[in-house]
Amino acid sequence: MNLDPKLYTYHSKKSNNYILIAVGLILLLVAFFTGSSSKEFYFSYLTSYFFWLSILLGGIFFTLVHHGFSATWSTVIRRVMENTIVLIPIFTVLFFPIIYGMEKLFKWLPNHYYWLTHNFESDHLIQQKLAFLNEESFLIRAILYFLLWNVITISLYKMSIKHDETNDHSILKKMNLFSMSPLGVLFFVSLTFAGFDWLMSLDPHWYSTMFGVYIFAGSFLVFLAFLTFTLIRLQDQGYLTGIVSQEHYHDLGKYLFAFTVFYCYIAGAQFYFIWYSNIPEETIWYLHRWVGSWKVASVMLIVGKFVIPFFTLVFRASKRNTKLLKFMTLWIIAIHYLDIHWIVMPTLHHHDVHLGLYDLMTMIGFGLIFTGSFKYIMSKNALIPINDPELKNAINHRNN
Amino acid sequence: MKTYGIIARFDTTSDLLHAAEKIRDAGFKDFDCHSPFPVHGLDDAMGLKRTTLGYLIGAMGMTGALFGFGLQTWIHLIEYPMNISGKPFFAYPAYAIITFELMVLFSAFGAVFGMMYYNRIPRLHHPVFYSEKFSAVTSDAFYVSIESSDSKYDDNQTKDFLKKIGGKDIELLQDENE
Repeated sequence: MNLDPKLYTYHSKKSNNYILIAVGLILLLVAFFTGSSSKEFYFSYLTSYFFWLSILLGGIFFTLVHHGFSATWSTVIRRVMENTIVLIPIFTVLFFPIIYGMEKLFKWLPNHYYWLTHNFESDHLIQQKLAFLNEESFLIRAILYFLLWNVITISLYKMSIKHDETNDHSILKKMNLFSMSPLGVLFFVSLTFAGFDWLMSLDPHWYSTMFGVYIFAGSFLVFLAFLTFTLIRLQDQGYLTGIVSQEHYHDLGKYLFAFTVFYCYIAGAQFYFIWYSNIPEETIWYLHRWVGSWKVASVMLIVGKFVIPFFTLVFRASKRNTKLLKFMTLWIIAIHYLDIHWIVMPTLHHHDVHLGLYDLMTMIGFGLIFTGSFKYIMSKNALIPINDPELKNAINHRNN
Repeated sequence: MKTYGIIARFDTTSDLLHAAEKIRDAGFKDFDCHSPFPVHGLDDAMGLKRTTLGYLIGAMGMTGALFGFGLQTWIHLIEYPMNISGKPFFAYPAYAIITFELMVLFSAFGAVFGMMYYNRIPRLHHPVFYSEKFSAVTSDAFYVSIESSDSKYDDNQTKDFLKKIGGKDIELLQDENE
């Protein structure tokens, strides 16, 4: 099939992207050097880091699903997915400040500032968890997660690019087998434990077995929003005309709707179990989020992450309306930040929401690095897998 | 003998789609397409409007949710207030599950019975079964039927029209016993 190369060759000035990345790095460095001695900085850094990382984690899942099931309709959007997830190496490097500031973040470390005035040995609950929550195993697990994520993303990206160049269809079979291999299961395990390690253990007394799924639901939802938004932006700029159609947006809209409901289901289930059983070390986590202005944030989360997207996306017409989808995806991305903020920050600010300068600096810093490197990666290759035999069917995809 | 309508056979899905488009453009309303499997794009080709079943299901779901929540509120606050593990009487988080389940149940009723109403089933007989050859539609044939109730219908003209657009085995649907 003959497509105009102009439609799928992304142009972006290299120098602009370097400037974006450089400004982002400078922002993060300024924040680091002014705030490395304060705990506020590390909490803000962790929030922003996990917000941007979760987009990639959701992307890894969708890419594995696409290749694992040899899906047809998502063939036109698969390269955008691969371009997103291949940013994992950058996030591997950006994880180091979290290791550096561990003792300001995690209360389960004996040298956390809390234990300067309290007796570490007398905290029975933390003592019982030390086999899992200790510095060495935390670091080993982090290395394993990043190793796995790098292996998955770089292998898939390389194979996909190689297929563009060689048109050797055995590579597609390889990608299929790779995605169906135990790596996919391991990815879920790693996602769950990364959520446990980096977010749940901020309050080491608290635990929820739903938390891994909660992180997955949020990550996949925000990735879908990001993907849809990126596609609409690309089409606004004149790319992918006639390649990505209303039918694909309809399917992405269905996904957005489905995972809005899934998120609500998981978040609700997590809450109900804790609410029913009424065990102090579990309920305290929700109590921290139901005092002062945190209560407003909690209500905003329920309304903004479920009620509004649900009643907007439930209609067929709104899933096929790119203008509305553009707004909804931005909305979902914004509310996902509130979600991560709501998970991390009450550990630091017990009574009220504080949106500080470090939150802003790290968010923009990560955002610029992300945008710059994403645009750079997109301009390196075609925006669609040009040699994929399913491409024609994917372009002609219909919903009814 | 009463004539109920006319049927014509087509060999492939694309023939069926083109025929449906032509019949639609000729202004027929009471016609139908029959195929052994769902054909993508047939709704548009026939000029069918989207079903309003979804709105019915939505309304039923809302009713179910309100009913479920109201039922529990009534029981726990008025009819049989009981202290359960120290929770307040109006413990609305606990109501979520039954509210949800009744929403699903009502939606399912709305979906099933609404679908039956829209499809006019149960219906034990249909004029297309007067044709012997029509049974091939369950395995390898695509049929178009135009009903005599259509205002543009005329035995001979419609027959010629179907022949012109490529229909084969054109048959009038007549009840031989009447």
